Amino acid sequence: MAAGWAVLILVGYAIVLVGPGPIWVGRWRFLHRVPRAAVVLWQTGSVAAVLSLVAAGVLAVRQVPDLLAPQGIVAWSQLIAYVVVALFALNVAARLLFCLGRVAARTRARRARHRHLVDLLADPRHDEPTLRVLADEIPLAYCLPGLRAARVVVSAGTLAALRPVEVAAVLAHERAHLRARHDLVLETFTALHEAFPHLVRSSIPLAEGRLLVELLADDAALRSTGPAPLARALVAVAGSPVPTPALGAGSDVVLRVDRITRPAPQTTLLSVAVSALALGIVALPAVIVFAHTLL
Amino acid sequence: MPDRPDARPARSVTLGELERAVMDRVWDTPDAVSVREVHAGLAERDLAYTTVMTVLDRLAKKGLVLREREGRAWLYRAANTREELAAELMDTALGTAEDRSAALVAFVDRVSPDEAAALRAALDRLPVDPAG
Repeated sequence: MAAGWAVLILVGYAIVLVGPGPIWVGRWRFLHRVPRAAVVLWQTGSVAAVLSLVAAGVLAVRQVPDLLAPQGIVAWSQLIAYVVVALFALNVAARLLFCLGRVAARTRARRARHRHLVDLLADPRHDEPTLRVLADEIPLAYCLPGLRAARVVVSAGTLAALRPVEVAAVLAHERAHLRARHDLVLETFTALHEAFPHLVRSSIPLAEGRLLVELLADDAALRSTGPAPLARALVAVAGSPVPTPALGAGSDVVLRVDRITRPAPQTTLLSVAVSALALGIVALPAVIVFAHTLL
Repeated sequence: MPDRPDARPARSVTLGELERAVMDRVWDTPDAVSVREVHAGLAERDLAYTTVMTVLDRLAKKGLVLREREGRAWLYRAANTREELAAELMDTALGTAEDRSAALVAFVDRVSPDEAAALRAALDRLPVDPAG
């Protein structure tokens, strides 16, 4: 395969994976039935885009020395195209590395600050060392992830508004986030999102990543307490009024309650299929590079 | 075991409790305080002077207290009032801070009243729970 074709296909593939691809895959509602495989699919989509672009950049750079004395318009436009591709690939790769570091540092700093406040202002529970209770009437429940200093924070309002089994569902959900280090998953999604320039990228993979992480924690709570307590806890906390609301994606909450209250179909085949798709997506750039070098 | 009238009951005090107690003393004092003043204010806890000094040092490293020199001693004052910290905590927890999702992972976002009504309707589809 000629270098020009290989570069073209690799760049086109990267752009499809970053822009229109997520718009299409974002409509695949069935992915929510297999959240773990779906997380892998979204992440490999972004990773494949980066790999594809970097491969295109490397191929482009290798063509440049042969074109340095350009004869005619075609040769000039090829040279310019290859240089542009190489620079774009370098930009994305550098941004990814930079963003991974920046997201990690920023998150740790903010989280440490919030943890200091929680430790100062909330009451610990002696029977539950990672639990902190805020003396607020507004129902709140969240976790502060971390390797050694993880916290689950609930407010007195949450404990008052929910029955004990519903509180257990909330705690099971939050502990699942901490155990599975969903914070690292979200940081990866964020870094992959910020690696690509604004004009090219879609916000869908990041939004789906956040939702899927909640679905994974919901599944863990379901295994612990069953559907009814978790669903009631979700509705009670989501529907409770706050003075200055920062309304989130309400459709996410409706989707989660719906998913919990409907019986779950068998998902093993779907999970395998989605994982296979993820494998194919990340393998394609390698196939194209091999085709170029061998054919 | 002989009866010692001045023996205090054994208490395991966590570092968090100490930080809270020290911070309360700092907040309760309008001006900057010295280690000695904080130690005196916590006399009933029977803490070592160096313990109080260490705790204030930790609070300073966390950015919760500010230090200033007065002669040979360090004076400490709160970086924020208790109300300011409570408001900051609530802002981050409720998502009104600029980038809440980075620090914590919330159980669920708030929804509008219409969506809350739709959610309660979805709950009606659940089987009746005899356990209540």
